[in-house]
Amino acid sequence: MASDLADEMSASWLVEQIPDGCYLFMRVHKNQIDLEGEPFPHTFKNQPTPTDGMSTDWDKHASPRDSQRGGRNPPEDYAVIKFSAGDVRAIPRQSVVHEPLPTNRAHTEVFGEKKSTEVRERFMQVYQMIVPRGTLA
Amino acid sequence: MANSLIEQYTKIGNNIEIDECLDESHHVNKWRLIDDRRDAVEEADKLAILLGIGAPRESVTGFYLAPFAAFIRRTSEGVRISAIEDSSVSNPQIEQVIESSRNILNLGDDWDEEGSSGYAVETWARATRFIRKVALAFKNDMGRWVDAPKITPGPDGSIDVRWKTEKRSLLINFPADDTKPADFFGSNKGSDTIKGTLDLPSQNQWLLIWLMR
Repeated sequence: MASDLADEMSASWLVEQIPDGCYLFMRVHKNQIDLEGEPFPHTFKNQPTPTDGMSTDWDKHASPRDSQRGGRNPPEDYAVIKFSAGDVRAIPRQSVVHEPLPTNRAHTEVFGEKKSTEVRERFMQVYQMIVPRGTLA
Repeated sequence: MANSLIEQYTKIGNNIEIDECLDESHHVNKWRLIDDRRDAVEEADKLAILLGIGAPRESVTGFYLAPFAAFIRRTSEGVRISAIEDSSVSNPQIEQVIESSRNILNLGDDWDEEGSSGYAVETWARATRFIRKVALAFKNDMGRWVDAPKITPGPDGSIDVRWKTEKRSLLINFPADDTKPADFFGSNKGSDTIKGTLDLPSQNQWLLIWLMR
């Protein structure tokens, strides 16, 4: 059993196609939530990493609780929002790519520039808050 | 009355020397709004005449409109600012939101631990000046104030201003680089969208008229 577990942890997860109707969860740090519980438009941005995408978790392989607990800070520091893959793909220049990590099978990147006003506003129109700031999933 | 005028002066900002209080005969109805599309010096001269100090010998510059009508005099003693807050050209809810948004200026580089930069007061001032101007123009056209927008930190030192109603939303971004235009995108989540860049000196209340449809 121990060796089975070790094998599972080190195996590469298969990359899958994400249907439009599936949801993506995203952690939002409390400092990027306004007093009315809404994220800033600037919340929707790419990581300053070479891969340059926006990290999310596919709801097929993760729960809101998993997402909330996946950050560097304590889970109560994060809200969790969701948006459908289809809604994201309808935003100009955005693509949704499943990129599982050894410790996170659900990991999904949303690629595409996110500094333009139109892109950020379109994200604001499609997101849904599912775990408000200050609550635990 | 004199005390309330002094209190209003302090709202202009920090580190500004408070001028002596104008006497009560100069109540707000005698002031005209300064149109910042016009030459500031021309406006300041008119304001100085209105106040009865004649053509100023010192250099004078005008001040912008809502919520203050004011002029600035540069004298041998330094810069003196005189202003009166005119409540008919400012909205308390909007002013409160603007005041709260000053917190953005306290955000330093990498405030979000994701590489975002800090914010300059000039960028914030450009955004909030626009909000006051367009809200007042809307009020003058439509007879009512629009609700206050949300003012939030944007990418690369820019400032976001977002209005939302039940049916529509509008995001306007003010870049840190003032040589670049502010731009906007609005939508009803359907096919009714507006987008483009703004000419800030122009009348832009059509944006709010569209939003409130």
